[in-house]
Amino acid sequence: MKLTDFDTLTFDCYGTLIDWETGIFEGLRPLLERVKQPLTRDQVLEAHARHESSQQKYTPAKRYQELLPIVYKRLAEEWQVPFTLDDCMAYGKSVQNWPAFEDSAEALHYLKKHYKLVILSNIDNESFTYSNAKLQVEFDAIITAEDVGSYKPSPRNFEYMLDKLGDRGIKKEKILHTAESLFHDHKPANEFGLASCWIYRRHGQEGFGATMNPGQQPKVDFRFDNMAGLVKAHQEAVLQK
Amino acid sequence: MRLTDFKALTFDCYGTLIDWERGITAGLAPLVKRIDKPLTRDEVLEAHARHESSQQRYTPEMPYRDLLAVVFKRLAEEWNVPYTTDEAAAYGRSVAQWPAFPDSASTLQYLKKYFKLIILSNVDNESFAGSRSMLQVDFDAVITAEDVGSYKPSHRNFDYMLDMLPALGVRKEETLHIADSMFHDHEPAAELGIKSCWIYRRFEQRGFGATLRTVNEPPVEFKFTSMAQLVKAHHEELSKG
Repeated sequence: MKLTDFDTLTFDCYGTLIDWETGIFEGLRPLLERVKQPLTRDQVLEAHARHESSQQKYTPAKRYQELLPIVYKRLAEEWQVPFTLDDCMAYGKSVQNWPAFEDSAEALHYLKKHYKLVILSNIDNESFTYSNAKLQVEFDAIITAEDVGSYKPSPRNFEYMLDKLGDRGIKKEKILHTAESLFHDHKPANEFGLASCWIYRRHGQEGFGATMNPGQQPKVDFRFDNMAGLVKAHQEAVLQK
Repeated sequence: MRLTDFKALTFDCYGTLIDWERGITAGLAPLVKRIDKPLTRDEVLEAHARHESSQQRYTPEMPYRDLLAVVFKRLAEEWNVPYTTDEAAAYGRSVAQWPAFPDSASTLQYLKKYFKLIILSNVDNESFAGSRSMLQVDFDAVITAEDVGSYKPSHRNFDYMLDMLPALGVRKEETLHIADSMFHDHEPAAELGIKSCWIYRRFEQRGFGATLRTVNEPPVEFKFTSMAQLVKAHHEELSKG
């Protein structure tokens, strides 16, 4: 299997293109400053993952910017620190400021010349407009949790994507799903028989950070440490043709 | 079984800590004045209970303040009286001002010294901020219908609360659910094997007021006619040692 076998890249956004771990950690800083027992960055991210994934199961139709305030409340309660409703809402809005990984915009700009680029993200439409501005590329389709009414790893999100891309004449065999999260992306992608490319942003770090442990390791067809690695491999594949 | 066997108290709020029947009656007074044939207070509350519980089944994800506006409309229609959308919306927003029972704040402050205090309420987060300031205690967790995406007596609300207990460091067996409503609280608690304590606020009145009737009377482990009685019983357990 070669990267040049595909004509469409479907991307996870947060964790893959946007550095959500930095965004989450910065957004929670006001809360963390009040926590008595010191927490490591990974402990913070893992608690966030636990509450976020539970909340996404209970309220699949809630927009991400309204779901995050509840995650913030749950974390404050778990860590026994005071908070206000305004703090919660501010955290929900902070998604807009989450930074892109340094290589994202440039890599997307290159890939746009060779593929259709599609976003499949656990986000709401308003928040994504801010991330899109940071990624500086025009996507061919943007499919959000708000559009679908559920969050990955729900199979509904992948069904919706395959349905809409199918309508536009894009064949499943020509799609490469590109993502960091084994839990939200690679496991369901395996179940749908999608080819997949792991952007292993957390290489060299322990654990799963802001994503849940997937249990059994899903299979991936390509693996790179970052988006720049994917671009380099694509350039080499083009030369070998 | 003794009260001192428990580590956490989970509370219903409206009907148990907040005198919602007074709040509802006051909020509906402008509407009720327009009715030709006079209705008793209990007739008003029972009609409210009927429309509220039906509405909560149809729109489980609607925040309570918005849902109450729809209940207001249904009541006006049932009673054949004119109303405006502004009046309906104002009724929804009145929740934040519904008064606390006179014994709620002082008893919660006493119980806070011995238990983790958790709210499990059919309310939205903004309205609860108003009630919270009347109850004058820091709750260890506040779980609302808005958080869960459904209303009690749905089992989902209790499941969400049980899912959260590990983050708060308590076990299900150490948790006592405290509520006035048989319909919203004691029946689902009994079905899920959660121990419960009935605060029978309506003990001197007939009927079920603003909550729906249950077919059978669900079992409860403790029964008091006020929060003050609960505190007295806890105090006596402690002095007997």
